[in-house]
Amino acid sequence: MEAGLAPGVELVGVSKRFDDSIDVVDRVDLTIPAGKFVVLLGPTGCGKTTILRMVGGLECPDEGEIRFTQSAPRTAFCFQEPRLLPWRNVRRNVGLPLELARHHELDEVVNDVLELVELTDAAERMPAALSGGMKMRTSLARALVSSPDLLLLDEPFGALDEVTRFRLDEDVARLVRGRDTTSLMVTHSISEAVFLADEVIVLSPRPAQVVERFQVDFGERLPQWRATPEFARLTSQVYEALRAGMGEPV
Amino acid sequence: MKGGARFWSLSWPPLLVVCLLLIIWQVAVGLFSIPPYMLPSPVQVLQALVDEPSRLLAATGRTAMAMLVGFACSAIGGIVLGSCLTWVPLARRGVYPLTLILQMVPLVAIAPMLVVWFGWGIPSVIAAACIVSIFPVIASTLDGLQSVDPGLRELFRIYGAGKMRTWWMLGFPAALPNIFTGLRIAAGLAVIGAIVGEFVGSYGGDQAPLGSVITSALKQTRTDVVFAAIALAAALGFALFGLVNLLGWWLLRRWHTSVH
Repeated sequence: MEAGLAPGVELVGVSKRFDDSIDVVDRVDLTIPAGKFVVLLGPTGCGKTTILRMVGGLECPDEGEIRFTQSAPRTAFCFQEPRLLPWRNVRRNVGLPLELARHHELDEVVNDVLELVELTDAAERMPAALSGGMKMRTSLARALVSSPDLLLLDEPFGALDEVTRFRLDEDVARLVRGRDTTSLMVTHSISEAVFLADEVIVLSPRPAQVVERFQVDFGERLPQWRATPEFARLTSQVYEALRAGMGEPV
Repeated sequence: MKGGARFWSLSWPPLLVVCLLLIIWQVAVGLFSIPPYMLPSPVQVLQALVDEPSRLLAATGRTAMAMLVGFACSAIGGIVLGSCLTWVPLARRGVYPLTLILQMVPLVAIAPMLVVWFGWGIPSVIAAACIVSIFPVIASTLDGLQSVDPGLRELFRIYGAGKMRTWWMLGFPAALPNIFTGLRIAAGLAVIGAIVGEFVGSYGGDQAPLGSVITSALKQTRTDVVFAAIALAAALGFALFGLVNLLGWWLLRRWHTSVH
């Protein structure tokens, strides 16, 4: 599948209410530049996932507008849980989006992606026989297999242990950054946000509003990046912004 | 545990109970001098099977065919109807209660009407087998399709899958464990439906299936033949149940906990 031009995304005065009374997102203005990796960071229940779902078309905003610089971008999701079909092995789970799109060179593309995520040896295994990390890697491979223009990641590694999470963050950095893809990720983890993002957007508690934006101008994201003073400084700044947004003294 | 050893470990307790019951039955008939027309002994039933093997086996074959076709109709019809009811909520609210009523109406009461509608012989027997066994398949299909993980449904929506593809690639496989629960119940009911259908709508003589063999043997107070026919009917139901179980195991063995 040919990759298109990555779209820029603009949220203009977007609000979302649930049960007609609970404001989850309140008049949010947000720009996600084309081809960038943007991370939304905020406290639990602040509306990050709702913003992501609205960008992905899974929820409709009650007010405001979501604009794309490219019409009908090819979108892929990576959810909090792997959402694998238990009756399909890894290979057939990864190939699902291509199968649904009636893609002709399915085997070839799936093999390439399996190799990228280092799952070639586990290709014939069923989801029940996979570790949590391998399940999430399968889910990530499924999201990448259709070469999406817009990749939406809803805290995909939140349930994993720290070591596996670091490893998968490095995989995401290797596989997604540098592609012609706009990525929007939601996470609770400050270090994950700073490690992966071109830009970290800190949100307030519900209803979500933008508190502060941080540009992360660092090149290739190798594991060593976590050990640099620059990483520590940014992590600390983001933490302070997050606490300020929650109304806590910094 | 290997296949053979596992099979034996599962089989010997019920086999032992059956053997004990047969021995008690045999002894009770002799001890209380029960006349054969009231209750034949197991040996007399076995003798009836040995004396008339070709007649009884041919009858079993006819009943088996009606049962299998009726079961196949209820399996396919139940899955299709259950799926349609899931797709159209209004139809579900309108039709599902009617299928419940169909389940509540005694088959014996409507069997004569089946003869009127489908004629004498095999068609009305197949209809009886199908009608009595279709409800569990509809209910289990509906249940299975309604309990598909909403997260997986969302995934298919994201990838733009249409209704039919979502059914084929998500709903149907996800509902298979439920569907097989319904099919197991339907397998037992199909043989009951076929026998009741044969009581009312089958030919006798050379073309007699098991149901007709039972009614004609009763008229002649040949209860040994009646019991032999009942045993063969039970064996048919058991065989169909086993086949359904085997198919279910084969389809679900790699991913569903129910077969581990």
